Amino acid sequence: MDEVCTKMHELMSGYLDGELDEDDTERIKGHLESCAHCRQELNEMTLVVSAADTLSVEVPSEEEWDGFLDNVYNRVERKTGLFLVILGVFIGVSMMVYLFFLTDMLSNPVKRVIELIFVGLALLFSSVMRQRVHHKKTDRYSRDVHR
Amino acid sequence: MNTMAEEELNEQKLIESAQKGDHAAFGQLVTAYQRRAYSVAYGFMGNREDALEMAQEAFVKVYKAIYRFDLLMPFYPWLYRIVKNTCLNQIKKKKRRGESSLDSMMASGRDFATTKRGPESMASFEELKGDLATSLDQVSDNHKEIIVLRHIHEMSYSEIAECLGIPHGTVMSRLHGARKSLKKVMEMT
Repeated sequence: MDEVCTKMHELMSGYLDGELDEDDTERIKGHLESCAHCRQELNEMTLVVSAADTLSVEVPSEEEWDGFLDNVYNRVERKTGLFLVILGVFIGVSMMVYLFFLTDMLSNPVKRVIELIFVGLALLFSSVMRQRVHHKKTDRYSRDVHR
Repeated sequence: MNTMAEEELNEQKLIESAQKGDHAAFGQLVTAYQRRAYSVAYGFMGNREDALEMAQEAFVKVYKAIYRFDLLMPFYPWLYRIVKNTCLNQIKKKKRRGESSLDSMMASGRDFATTKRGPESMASFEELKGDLATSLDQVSDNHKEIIVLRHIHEMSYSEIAECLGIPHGTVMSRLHGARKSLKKVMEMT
């Protein structure tokens, strides 16, 4: 296949889709009259285009469409709620740390309870991190699966 | 019937109201674009449930980011990019969790011992139609995207160029490359 044919192949999609200007349309038409290889390529590309034109989307039900906007608002509310919970937990933990380390306002039993919570959280965190590191090292399918 | 300019102006007013916190205006925007957002998401995710979920997630992002939207720019390309990125992030998450298109292909009992079929067997249109949906899932995301924009959304090259932020000429060469990839995959199945 020579350079001219390569160039014509690049124009083929535009020709099939009616997106070429007049000059390019005439060029490709003229070339097709004399090149059997490009005519064959055009025929095959026409089949692919015709088949691709039959692609369709699975349409949701009317109920699903009716509920679409409500679902968007539900998601907004959930994300806002989650953000506020996380913020509240963060502020709560910061206050606990402050009261525990920097003041004498807490009684000893309360301090012991807070110590237990911190130790428990640290154990949970290190266990999860250890498992994730182990999983990453040993998982045979952890790389992207190529199509 | 409204002209294009009038429709654009109405849409601009709607977005402006939504930016000022008008929930009804935001709701109208969602209703106007939900089907297009869904079909974009469907092109990436391949099934109704995930596409609905991703389209809704995308509108949540639109809700949060609408105040940053430049009213001088067209809305749909911006929405398109949000839907696309939402879908691609979800696909990456699924791959990290080990859920891939390979899993769904295996679940469907697809036989991977494929035999190569030569170009002479491309003559049948019905054969092509049957292979198409499966083959589309096997081309790259870029190629799948442009096939979906052209053949499902029926967008012109100029519209595709605006959506993807690429030159008109690149649309033509990318679409041609996508169709060639599709043809190659279909010859293998």
